[in-house]
Amino acid sequence: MSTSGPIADLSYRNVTDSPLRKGGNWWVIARQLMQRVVKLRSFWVLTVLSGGHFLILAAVTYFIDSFAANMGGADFAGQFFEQIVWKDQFLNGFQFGHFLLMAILLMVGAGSIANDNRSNALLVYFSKPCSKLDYLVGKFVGIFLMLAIAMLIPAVFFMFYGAMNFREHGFLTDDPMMIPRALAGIFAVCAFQASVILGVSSLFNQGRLAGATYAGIYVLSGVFAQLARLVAETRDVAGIQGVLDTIHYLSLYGASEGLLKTILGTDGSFFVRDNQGAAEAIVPRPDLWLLLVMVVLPVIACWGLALRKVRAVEVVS
Amino acid sequence: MAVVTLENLTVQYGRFTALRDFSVAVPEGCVGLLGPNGAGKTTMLKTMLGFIKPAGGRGDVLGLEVGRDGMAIRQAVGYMPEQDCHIPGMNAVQFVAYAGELAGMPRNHAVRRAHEVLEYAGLGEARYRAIESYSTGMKQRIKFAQALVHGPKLLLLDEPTNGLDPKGRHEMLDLVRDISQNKGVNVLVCSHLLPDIERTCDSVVVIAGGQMKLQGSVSDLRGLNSNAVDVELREKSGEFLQAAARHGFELVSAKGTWYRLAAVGGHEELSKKVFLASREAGAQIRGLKPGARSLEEAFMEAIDVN
Repeated sequence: MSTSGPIADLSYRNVTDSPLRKGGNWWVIARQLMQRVVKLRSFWVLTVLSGGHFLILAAVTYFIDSFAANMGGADFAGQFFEQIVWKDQFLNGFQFGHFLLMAILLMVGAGSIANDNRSNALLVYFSKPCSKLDYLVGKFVGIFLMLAIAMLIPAVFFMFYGAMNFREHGFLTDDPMMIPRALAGIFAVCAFQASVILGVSSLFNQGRLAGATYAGIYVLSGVFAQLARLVAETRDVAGIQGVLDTIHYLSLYGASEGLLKTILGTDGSFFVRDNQGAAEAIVPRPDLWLLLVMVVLPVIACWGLALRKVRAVEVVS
Repeated sequence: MAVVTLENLTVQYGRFTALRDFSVAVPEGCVGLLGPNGAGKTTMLKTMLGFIKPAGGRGDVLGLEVGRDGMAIRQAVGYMPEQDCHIPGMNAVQFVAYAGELAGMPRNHAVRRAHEVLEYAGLGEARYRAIESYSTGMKQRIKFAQALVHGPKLLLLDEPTNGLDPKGRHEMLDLVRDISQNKGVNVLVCSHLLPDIERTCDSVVVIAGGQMKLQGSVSDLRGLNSNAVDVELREKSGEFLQAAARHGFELVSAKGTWYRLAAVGGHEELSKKVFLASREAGAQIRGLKPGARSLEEAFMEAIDVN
């Protein structure tokens, strides 16, 4: 009705012949979520910091490769690189940056549904031809892709760096499937964590509460798993070693780590392979069935929760 | 032709029945859904949109079956909810364009249309501000804009003047009137504010206690077409009433010096009889007009009588 604006539409008419967009609503929702996150400077800062292991590793390997002759003779570099298990570095990279990745996940996903609950945005979504599945898949894809970007940027940088500089030290030949496995592992971890935070977020009306709850579960389950490891390391518990190893994976972090270990096909190592003292602290990768239970069950539970809780109206029964 | 038809619709929240055997045929144009708080108005809208599954009965919206064709209904319908709703972190253009995209519009169309609709809704340059900073009136307008962005054939407005000051209310009602009268959009306005309905709507559905109480055009409900006249005398007069009765009038109601009289015949004929009766009774007439109830009277009557 306003006629004073610079583009006042005096001949306003209702439009009923607008062309329909191709593709589902889920992508519109995912894109909106990602557009919001990429504008956050903290997302990029955390992404760089979470890749600290790869940056340190690249610096160390560059230093040794360049100055080896001055340090321990010509053969020093060859011996050093012989010790490195390249595929384990992707696992180490995750272990190094997992708290920062959790912070990224909280930034991206904690408020994804909770904030919509608070502002009644679900009424807007569901009063349009947008299904519950469109909404949840859109949110999931948005969180998944942003987390994947945060994990992939440092990992892909390291892949390129290694492939360019350390081919002769077995970077691509030790395990020819290393890069596909690393990518698959990253995607699997992202999918797992995105599913869990989606379920947690759907339970709350405030992003902060959802974030605090997810962080609480993440940290407390991790502390519990670490305590079990401490018991295993300090006491003679040969009879229940397997149980303690299992407990290690009964946490959000542990399940993610187990997933990555299984997909990479490694138990992990500490930077170089002959570090005997540290090797005892390494928890062997989990049994496949156990892993399925620890990953698939929470994912199903969280999706079920989200499907149940996300609705346009509060229905009191 | 009815844009919405509901037949024996029953909606329950647990043990509480919000709509019971509710049947209505909503005609084209601007229709008011009138009822006290908790009457079931919003439940009816949400059931039509497919948010709530009915326990019984059936219905269709624009020829699409409620429950089965939920997505198609929401494609053809725009909904302005009663409560504040927005998507955090967006300005008005982004929000309305996003709503357009969710309704299936390509992005460039949705953005262009968002500007048009926001200008029409009177948001002007404020459309670039974050929605969180909007006043209540502006939030009402943006809800209106997001409901309209995809060019719906039917607009469902749930309490569109909620929380508005008199000026904002006046402007919102003008918008509602304009969209239904001049832009060819059918509008169903849900409200408990009778003056809003009276000002914007052609016909009214009165609902109370989850049941349809009354339906008809505003003029019919106000009794504009009835054979009644309102007579104001200089002072109360029993003689006048006796004279009127001799001319075939029946006293409908009396309030102070105002009398509502009903009789068989056209308005001109009734007026002549009133003047004859006043001359016979020696009563002075100060006012004479066709007998019309206010919508409020019709509403109260519907609620009480039924």
